[in-house]
Amino acid sequence: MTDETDATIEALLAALSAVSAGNLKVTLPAVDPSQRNLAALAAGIGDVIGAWREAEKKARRAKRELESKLATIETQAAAIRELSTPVLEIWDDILLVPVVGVVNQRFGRELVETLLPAITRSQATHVIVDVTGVDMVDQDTAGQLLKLVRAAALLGTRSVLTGMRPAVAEMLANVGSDLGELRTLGSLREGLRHCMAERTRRL
Amino acid sequence: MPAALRESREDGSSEGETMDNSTGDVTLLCGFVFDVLEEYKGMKKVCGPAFDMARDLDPRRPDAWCKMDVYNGICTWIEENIGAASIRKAGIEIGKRVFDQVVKTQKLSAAEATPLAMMQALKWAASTMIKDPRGRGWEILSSADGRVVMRRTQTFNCTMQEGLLLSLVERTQVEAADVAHDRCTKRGDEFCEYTLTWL
Repeated sequence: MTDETDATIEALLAALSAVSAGNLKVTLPAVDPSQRNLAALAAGIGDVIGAWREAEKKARRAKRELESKLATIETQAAAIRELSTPVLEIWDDILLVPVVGVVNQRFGRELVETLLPAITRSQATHVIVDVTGVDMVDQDTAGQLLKLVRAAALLGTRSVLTGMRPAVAEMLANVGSDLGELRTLGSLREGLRHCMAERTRRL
Repeated sequence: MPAALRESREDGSSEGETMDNSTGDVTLLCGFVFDVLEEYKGMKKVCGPAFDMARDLDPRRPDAWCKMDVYNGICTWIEENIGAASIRKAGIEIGKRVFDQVVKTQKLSAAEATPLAMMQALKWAASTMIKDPRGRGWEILSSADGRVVMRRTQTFNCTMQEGLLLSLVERTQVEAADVAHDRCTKRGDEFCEYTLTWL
């Protein structure tokens, strides 16, 4: 083997070492075309690195798109949460929180953060949390609902949960928390009637 | 190992340090805070707590100084309540503005704006736009063809910085830039370290 061949092989090995370290921008050494086998080997290595580089570019583009979509989803989820936690003053001293979608820990926290200032502002005596539009709850939901009820109670406000679907009731029951503090009624209409009756009695 | 890949610690900082998370006497330009909030201006209601943290700052005075805690609090709130991808994307958008600002103030030409030059400029920017008695900011741990490794020594939100670094490298017109958040204080590492690569 000639010195020139040795040097070329060493340069190719160095290039492969660079590639293995993640450098896909590596430049291969020029090989004398008269060294046919070596030139073919270098060309083959060049092709593999080129294909790898193209695949890596494609993967990075896909990663960027996914990251961008994930950010959009997070923003949209926040916008939906904003829309799905309105606090409505439906009657004198009675607030309604219609909850739509999936209730999880983050939502529960936001509900508390939104509702308590509203109670203070309106001096509400009753809050109806209507979950007719809730399809699913997670394990933290019972705790979040109880926290909401307790926090409202500390402000002198009674809470009523209405519109619970059988599947949601089953999930809440499976959580195993003591839900005795929750006053539940079948429909928003019943809830409103109950709150108005209690309010009248208090007056 | 080829010289192009041989790593060297380029800014003289020594191994074995640990992240100093103190923020008490650190201030930064209010413009940084407004830049972050600008990304969420359409979500003022849901991001109310984040905007509340900046209520004492005057939007007409981006050149005034405010506590680092305000900036960090806002970024952390957004990451925890909106999401990590969102604050990362905010970092990407902020990076575009930082790039323009750095190119302007450092008088970098488009040709000079290489990823490494941008990282050096970022180090400079962090040292001039943040007042920190401990001189924390960024360290360039190593650089090679197609690769720069950065270490965050300042307390600013590490996920947002991931987006900012990516954005700065991308704006230098290199192809297929990527950032890997290899080490992270949230995962128990002493520092956050980012490997920036391009093809």
